[in-house]
Amino acid sequence: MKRLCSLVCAFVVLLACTVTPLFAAGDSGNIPSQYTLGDQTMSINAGLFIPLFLLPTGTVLLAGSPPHLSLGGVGSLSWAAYVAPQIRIGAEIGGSFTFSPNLNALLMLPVIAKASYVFTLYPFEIPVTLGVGMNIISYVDQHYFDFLIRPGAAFYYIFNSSWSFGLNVNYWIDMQFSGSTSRTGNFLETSLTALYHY
Amino acid sequence: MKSRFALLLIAMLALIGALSACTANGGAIYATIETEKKIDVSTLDQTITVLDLLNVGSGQFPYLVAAGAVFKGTVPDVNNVIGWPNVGGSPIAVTPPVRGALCLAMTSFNSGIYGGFFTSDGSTMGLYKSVGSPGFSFAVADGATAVAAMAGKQITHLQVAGPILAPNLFAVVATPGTGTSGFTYELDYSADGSSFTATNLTGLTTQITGVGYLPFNSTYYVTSGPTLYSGAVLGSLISTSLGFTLANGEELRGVTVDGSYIFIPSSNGAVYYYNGTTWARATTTDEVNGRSVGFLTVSTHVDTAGSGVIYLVGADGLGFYTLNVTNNTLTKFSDVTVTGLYAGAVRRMLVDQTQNNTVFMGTAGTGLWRATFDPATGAVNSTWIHE
Repeated sequence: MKRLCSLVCAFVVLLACTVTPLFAAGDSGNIPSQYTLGDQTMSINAGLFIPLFLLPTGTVLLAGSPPHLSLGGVGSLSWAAYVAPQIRIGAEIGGSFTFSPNLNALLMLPVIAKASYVFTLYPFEIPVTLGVGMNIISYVDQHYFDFLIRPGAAFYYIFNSSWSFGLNVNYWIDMQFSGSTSRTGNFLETSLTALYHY
Repeated sequence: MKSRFALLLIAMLALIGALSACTANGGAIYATIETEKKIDVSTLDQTITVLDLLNVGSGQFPYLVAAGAVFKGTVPDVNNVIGWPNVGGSPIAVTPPVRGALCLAMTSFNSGIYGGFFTSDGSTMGLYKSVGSPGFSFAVADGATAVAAMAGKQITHLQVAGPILAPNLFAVVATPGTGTSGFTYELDYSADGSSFTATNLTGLTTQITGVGYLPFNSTYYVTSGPTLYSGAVLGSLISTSLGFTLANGEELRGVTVDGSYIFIPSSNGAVYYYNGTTWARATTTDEVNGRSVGFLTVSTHVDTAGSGVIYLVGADGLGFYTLNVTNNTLTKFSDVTVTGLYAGAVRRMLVDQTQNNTVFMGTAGTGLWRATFDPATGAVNSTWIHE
């Protein structure tokens, strides 16, 4: 499992390093981005956190155990910088909550690095993102660091050169490693986003 | 420069995530949640502090709970529900001696229920014997008896101990000191529930927490502060060694007699028990807020169809432990999803083997809990109900 984690981390770093020359020309067929190397963004997200299912970590099944968790909430702050007209990389810190059948709160504080490829179809932009990092998780008196992989996509309306607004959807793959009790939590985040370019 | 910084940041975060998660000591939070079962709730106030807990027989109302007010409950019905007579969801308390009087201690003796009461303004009232089932009223106007020998006395503990055919009702009487001095405590006993005699334990400055009697050596045992007293004659109880050196500040918190064993929980993460030959000590190093967990009570054995070696021990702030006297181990209750019990202070326990081996656990401030235990293994085999 350590090898898998290391591979994923390496993949993200390599992706960020290698995509720069590949996409710098903006030849993807969509409208060229108006942003360039060095431009940055800040975004704020808030929305719903939807528990899907739990799987024994390391297995790939079509259906896992019911999550026994309620619909919750999620919010985050994100920063990113353009390394190419369509590529931005950055970091995000957030928080989510959901409740167990006995109303015990499951709290998560993810801290992730992420890379996005941005399709621009003016006046819309569609970033496709892969985030990897740690998830600080707390439940009653148990507190752990999980390994989080979070692919996602968003659909933004470009309001002006500084602001974009839209919908953000992320799939959380949150891995806990604990021998026979290892589980992977699968969650869906749907949030509204305000994105500021500077 | 900025892109290099960003790449470095990404690499660091990814590395931290990988290193922190990919360890053998990772969490089992999801596995815990996966098996979490919803706790059923009943109609008692879920924040009561249970001071005493009784099973009064096999009639309609076999359970009485002293929690300031006294509540009565029926046997579990076919849906496993206990009836706590109530109006609009608020349980109706057993009638006290006077309106607002609070019950600090309760026990059954000589086919009656005895309760030590004081009024809500703090004045002492004394000892009352209730009327019978189904009302159990403690009001004299309803036929209850005010025990004259205990009139105006503050009773902090009631317990029955003694030979099977000649048990005694013990009452701990607290007397406030003068000036800045605290309470002093006296242990009195009665063979008939009406006339009381003082033991030689009078004027103690530490609370008397328990009384027990071992039939096979005809000896009484009494705990008070760090001291265990014992003796065959109640006027000549003497300080007795437990066979272990107690830690500085360690206090003994009560006496439970079950079969050939006597159990004494302590404030320092230990349960002392004696089988008539040698004292044993089961310990844990678990702590609450940096201090050794304090044990508050010990049940009778819960493996009621087994070999009778499994006991439950109430802990202050850690729910309860399972004591196995065969291998002298204490095992902590580990179901974190039962929050109010898991982190509660269990101060009274009742095992009712006639009702599917039901165990009641009365806490300080987080209510009364109930579950059934496997009579063969002594392990929980039902969901928990928060009464």
